[in-house]
Amino acid sequence: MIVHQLRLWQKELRQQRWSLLVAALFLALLGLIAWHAYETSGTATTRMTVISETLGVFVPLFALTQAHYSVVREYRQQTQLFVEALPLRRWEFPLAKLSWGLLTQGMLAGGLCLWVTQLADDTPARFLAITCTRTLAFVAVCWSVAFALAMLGRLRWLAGVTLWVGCYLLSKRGVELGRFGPFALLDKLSFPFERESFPVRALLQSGAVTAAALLLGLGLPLLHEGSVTERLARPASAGEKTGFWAVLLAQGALVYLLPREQRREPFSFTGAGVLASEQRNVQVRCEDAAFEPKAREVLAELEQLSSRLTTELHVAEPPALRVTLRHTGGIRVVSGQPGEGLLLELNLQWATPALVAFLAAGHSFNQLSAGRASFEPNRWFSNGFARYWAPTNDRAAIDQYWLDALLVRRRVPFDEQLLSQWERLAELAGEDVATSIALTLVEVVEQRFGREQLLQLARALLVRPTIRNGFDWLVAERADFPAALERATGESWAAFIAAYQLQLDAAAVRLAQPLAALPTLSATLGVEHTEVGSNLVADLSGLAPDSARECLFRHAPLPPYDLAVPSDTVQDASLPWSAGVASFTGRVRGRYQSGQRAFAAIDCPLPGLARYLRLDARRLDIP
Amino acid sequence: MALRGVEKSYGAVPVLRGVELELDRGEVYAFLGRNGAGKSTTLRVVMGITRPDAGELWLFGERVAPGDTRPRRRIGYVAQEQHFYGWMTPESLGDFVGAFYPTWKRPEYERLLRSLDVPSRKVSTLSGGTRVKLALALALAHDPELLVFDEPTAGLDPVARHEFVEIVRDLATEGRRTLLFSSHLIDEVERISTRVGILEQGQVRYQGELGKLRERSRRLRLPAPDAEQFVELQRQLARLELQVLAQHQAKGELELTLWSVQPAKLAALSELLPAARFELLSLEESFVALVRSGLALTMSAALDAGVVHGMPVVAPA
Repeated sequence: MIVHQLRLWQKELRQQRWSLLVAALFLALLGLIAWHAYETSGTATTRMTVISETLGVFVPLFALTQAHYSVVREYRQQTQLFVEALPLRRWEFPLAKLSWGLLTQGMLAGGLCLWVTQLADDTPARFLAITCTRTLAFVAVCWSVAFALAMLGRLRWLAGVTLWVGCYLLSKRGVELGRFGPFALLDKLSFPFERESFPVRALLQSGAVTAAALLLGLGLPLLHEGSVTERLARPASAGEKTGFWAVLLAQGALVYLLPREQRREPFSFTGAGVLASEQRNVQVRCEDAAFEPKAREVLAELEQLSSRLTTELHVAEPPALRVTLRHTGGIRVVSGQPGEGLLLELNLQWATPALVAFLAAGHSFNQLSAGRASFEPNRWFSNGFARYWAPTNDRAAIDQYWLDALLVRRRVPFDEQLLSQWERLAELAGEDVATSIALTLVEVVEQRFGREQLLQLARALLVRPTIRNGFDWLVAERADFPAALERATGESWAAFIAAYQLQLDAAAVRLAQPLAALPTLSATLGVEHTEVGSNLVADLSGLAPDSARECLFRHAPLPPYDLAVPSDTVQDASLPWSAGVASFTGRVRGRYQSGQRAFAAIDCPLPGLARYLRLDARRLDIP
Repeated sequence: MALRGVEKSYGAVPVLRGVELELDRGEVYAFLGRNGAGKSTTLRVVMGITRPDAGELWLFGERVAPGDTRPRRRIGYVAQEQHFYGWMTPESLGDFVGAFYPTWKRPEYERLLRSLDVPSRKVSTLSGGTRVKLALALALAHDPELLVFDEPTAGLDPVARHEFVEIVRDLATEGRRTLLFSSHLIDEVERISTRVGILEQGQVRYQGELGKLRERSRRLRLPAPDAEQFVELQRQLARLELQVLAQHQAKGELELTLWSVQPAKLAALSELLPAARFELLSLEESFVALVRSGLALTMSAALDAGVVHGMPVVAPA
């Protein structure tokens, strides 16, 4: 039998040598792309991601391709009849094809796996064994399913699409397929990092899928002495084709008609240190018992937010709010589908209950509106309303934001166009200060048109979900705040901004004393050309500080077509302003090439101001 | 080689119904039968490709167990259609096939390719006739004791068919190998075989020498009788134990195809019906009449004993 298998493998090798070569080249190309992505991502921490990224694409594609070349073509051309007449047992031929596919795919995938693990820094034997087991099990399940589909002949596309639609519908009904067998084997979160535990559950589930597929794939060519496979391999008749299309269209309709999003129950914290609200779906977990009083303040703030989402914004089911308070780190927000809740991880050393409420409200609006709230023309309303409405703000707290707005107005003249463009405003003032300006705008809306009018606008723009169709994109999402305000109140945007300027003037009088107490700092940004390249230069001047002041030189390459600068591309360079120094020059050296365009900004902290103040921001052409 | 009581059904459709067959070494045996009569299935049972539902297969003096592929190494097989790998050349095809036969002789295979004029190029570019020759070379290169050909000339043009039949006839005259083949072409069978079996609806209807099939049948023509004369004709045919395979009346003449004709019976009938004319049928006419009649002529012994049941002579309107 082994001799027969070797002879049949030899035939397969000769038949598929070119396609195998192409597959190997394709694998190498995919590997290089994944490798390049790893090298340039800046966030990936291990080369092992190259394996999962590459094999996740390569193995299913190669399995389907090889199944077509090795199985479908064989039975369609009826060359299996020739082989069946040789002195072989009937099962030896399909078995040879199956084992050949496993061998070639296992060698290619395993080869990549071994190669990358050799290049990775620290790969103990156990980690290597886990990685190879995952890889080979994934190959086995993909190939066995592709093999079984190929044996279905002309029904394979129908079966494949049905399988895909089934998986899609299951995932929409809340089944987390990403944690199931074959999908879990190459899970991006565990594949590159799991060094100790074999994924037993995923392996067992994959084994079951593989066994079922093998039963079908090896059983069909043996059934009724191969006549079933022989008949299935024939081209579909016109009637069958019509039937296939009808079934596919029915499946398409099913996918379209079923609810698109399936709510998953929000998770709950377990263990000690968890504070849970009795009335609202809110939980706060703190790592340290010392934080408990502050955690209770956060819980109370979020309870109130959740309650007001229902009473004031008429949200029947506000998102479940989960907050983790830590000693270290910054802010991390995980937002799911509508109804799935929010998880905020915060460093409570500096995060106040008001900030938690602001963040929770902003992300709740985004989740409830399925992204509508963060659409650019509405963004300032979303941010401003969240900061104004969500926390319990007193007059002194709100005046701090007016102070921010007045400081920005010293440098940047506000007009109706700038105030309708959130991204431009955020670029000139910094996102945090821009949110302060937005808060002042929202307060003016309430002053002029009343609380109920403000809440109506919020209901229309922030908690009504987008419907994600062409009409929505063209009309509803385009109904930005200036237009919505005019429609709701009858006041034009220009008239509203004129009224806002008057309020700013009034605030300048009211806050003259704290405003005068703040030092006047200035910065001028430019480009310096040297023999070795171009530098970004900032000349800073102002009252010499008593103690060192840690300013930031922020810069980023500009995207084309004057798009907004993505915040995750902005890099911060430290710009220390030494005590007793009235002016100095800071540089970012050699980061940009001639012909490039760059965004640059200088942010400095001011005593008595909670936020960094942006002293200058520019879009620069590098000569 | 022997088949004993072989039965095979595909689902609810019976294909072979108790096929009995026995071949001696060196014999050339042909299966005749209509499309769907069960010829290919019988040969596939012999090859072990199809497993019978009941019955026994004996090859080379041993009963073949289901799934035993060893006897197949001693058989050369040419299928009805040649499903070779088009990307292979005759040489590489030989290398592939030869690996499964311990007795494969590559020089012999190369000699066969040369003598059969099979060119050395991709199989997909070969004509139908050349592919059959290639199949023949593949079937012979391991020096098989039994050759099984399943309508190998079906679909070939007359020249290619003639060439192939000539080659097989040469093989047959060698007398070294037993040859079992199926065909529905009478002239082909007539030129090669020593014995034939007529298969119809999964049963062997006739088994014996081809010449006897022709000798036993006659066409009788006589002026159309009236009702009384017809009754008398029926009585006389029954008395002589002559079976009517077919009857046809046109232009004032009655035509009967008779079976179980022997010289003595023929002479007696000539005396009784002086106006009658007797014609010898061609093999093809005999075969068609026999197959159409539905007669169950199991063995030549039964034929001689006259244990047959023909269709009744129907009185003219």
